[in-house]
This record gives sequence, C-alpha cells and structure tokens, in this order.
Amino acid sequence: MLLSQTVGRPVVSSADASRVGTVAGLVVDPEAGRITALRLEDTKVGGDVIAWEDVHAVGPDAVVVATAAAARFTAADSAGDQKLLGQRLLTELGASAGTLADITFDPASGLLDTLHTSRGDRIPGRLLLGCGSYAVVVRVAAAP
Amino acid sequence: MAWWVWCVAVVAVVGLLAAVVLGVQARRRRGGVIVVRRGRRSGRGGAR
Amino acid sequence: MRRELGKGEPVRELTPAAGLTGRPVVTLGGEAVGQVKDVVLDAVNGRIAGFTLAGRGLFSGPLRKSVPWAGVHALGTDAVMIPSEEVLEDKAAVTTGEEASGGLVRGARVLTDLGVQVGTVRDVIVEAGGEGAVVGVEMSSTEALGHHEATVFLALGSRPAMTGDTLMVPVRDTEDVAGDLTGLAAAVRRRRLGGDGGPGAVGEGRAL
Repeated sequence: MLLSQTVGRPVVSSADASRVGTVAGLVVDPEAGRITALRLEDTKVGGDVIAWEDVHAVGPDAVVVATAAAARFTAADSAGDQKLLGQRLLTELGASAGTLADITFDPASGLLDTLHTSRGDRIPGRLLLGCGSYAVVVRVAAAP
Repeated sequence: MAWWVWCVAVVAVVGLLAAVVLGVQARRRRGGVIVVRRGRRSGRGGAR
Repeated sequence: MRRELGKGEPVRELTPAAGLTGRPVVTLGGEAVGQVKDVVLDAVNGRIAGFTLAGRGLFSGPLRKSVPWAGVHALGTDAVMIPSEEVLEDKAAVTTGEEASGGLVRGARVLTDLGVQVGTVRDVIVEAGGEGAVVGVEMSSTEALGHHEATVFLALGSRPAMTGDTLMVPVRDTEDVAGDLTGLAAAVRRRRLGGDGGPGAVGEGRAL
C-alpha cells in the first residue's frame, strides 16, 4: 500500500465507530524497517500519534483502530521529528538519491516494502538506515 | 517628527543589524583547508 | 614506523579538499549536526586529520565541535556521513597538533628540493575513502614549469613535506604534471604501481 494514498484517510474507532482523526503520516523504526505508529491530524482526543499495534486495519476507505482510548495516544513530539514524504534522501556514502517520493508498506505487518525516490528508483525498505530531520538515509545495496 | 518616522527608523536599524549579523556569521562559518602538524596518532582508520 | 600509505592500493575517488567546506555533516540517523568549516590536514602523516564544524543556520557561526577523520563514515559528494553524534569531539582535538603551523593551504608556495618555486597551491586533492590521504595539489604554475599561472595538478608522495606556507616536492615529480583530476588520478595510480615510493620521499626524516 502506498503511503501517499493512506495520508488523509479517515481514522475510525472500531469500538464506537467514532472518527478519531485523519492520517497525517507514519512513524517508522528505521532499523526494523517497519511502522511503529501512525501520526494523526484533526484529532478529537489528546495526542496525535497512535501505536501500530492499535491499528486494526488499513483499508481503502478508512483506517480502523482498535481503540479510541486517549491513553493509547502519545504526543507527536515524543516520536521525534520524522518527515518522510518529500524528505531528502542520502545514501550512507553521502551521495544524494533525490527525495523520498513515496513508500509502499504491508498494511498487515507494517513492514516497509519499498522506498520510491523522486528519481524513479526503488529502494528495498530493509535498506533504510535512518529517518532524521535532515534526511532519510539508506544503505547501499551492494557491498563496495 | 511624525510617529511613522520613528517606525521607519526602528525597522531600518533592526534590518541593518540583522544584515550585519548575517554577514559576520556567514564569514565566520566559512573555512578553508588548513595544515597542522601532528604525528602522535597515526594509523587511525576512517571512512571506507 | 607507519606503513607506506596506499602503496599498491587502488586509487579511490579524488576530491578537492576546498570543495568539502560547507558540506553538511549528517549522521546515519539522518540528522545534520552542522557543516564542514575547515578541512584540517595532518602534515606529518599526509592525510586529513578531521573537520571543524560550523552551524547550518543563517545566523549560526562556528561550532565548538569537530569530526576527527576516524569518525567519518563516508565522504560523499552531497554530505559527510558520520555514524552518530557520539563521534564528535571538541574542536581542539582536531586543530591542535604539536604546533598549528597554521594558515590556509591556498596560496602556499610549491618549492622543489632544488629551491625553485614551481607554483602556488590552489587546492589540495584528497582521496575520499580509506585514510583520507593527501594525494596531490592543484596549483597555479610559475614560469619554471613553462607556463605562467596555468592550473596544473601535481601528484604527491605518501608523505608530502608541507607546512601552512610551503610545500616541498622532489624536482622530478614536477616533470609529470597533470592537466585535470583524471590525469592526476592516473599519475597517482602510476606512482602506486611503480611502488618505489621515491617521489615524496623528500623531507623524510627531516625537520620542516
């Protein structure tokens, strides 16, 4: 599933069908190459980040979360400043690879599948090294 | 003097100060290639 | 004694050292810790000692931190990569040697061991990988090389004799000058394959 298509999708609680907010972005664990949380906007409840374990399904029309309990929400700043889409892409060798145009991920496991660069390259998600405020850093596929 | 003259003056002074600070800091950020002599720690690894 | 630097090794990507200044210094986690201010060369070992840092903001000035060469993960065309902020050291760790003979390399005179000035340094060419070796200089030539103020590249031996104001080269090295970086890379390769290590041996064991 493409991240760009997920952003803006409504997030609905399965407990009471109430609308929790809309998807603003992802929080990823670069080392594990997987999503750890969803970043929300327009939330009615306290925080604006919801843990991936609480995401029940990422469907074509809505993201369903298992709980709307405010306790499960944390403030966005605790997840650091992770801008993904449009972020500068660098290889670990310090060469630019364009910007991060999109990410495909597995909605079931939360594993990052492919990083799409602005130059049309596709980088396997497992090569992700870091997501910082300056750049997204990827490993170089073939050992030099 | 009219009140707006003071506003213009304050804005001008603040702008001038900002420009000076910008220029000075830009110069301080600029560096070059410099040589030092050191022989103690040789054989250190580094980038690949 | 240290091993002969780079003998028989392939020549890696060559980079003009002055081009490194201003390049962002980025951790593998994707955070920029600053940008390169000074490229500090270790004259005794003929390699990059490290970088001093400046902030990246419009209003920021020099930082008190530095990156020792050992802490560099990669010297890329778009960024200097470091594993994490933990490799940063105090500025003094890179800049002070026994004596900061100081000064910018640019403008230093290039003297042969016969005492003839063959040019003035425009830039120092370093090897981006490995030990960050200084492999050559870009210089503005004097009449002694036939052309006045032509830009030529001169390959250096593994331990160039240099201070902040003078670079001394064996006179026979000046017979093999290159016109561009590609030519310099070829000259460096020839030198390493030749393996006599003779060129650049001037100043060996001699006080600068």
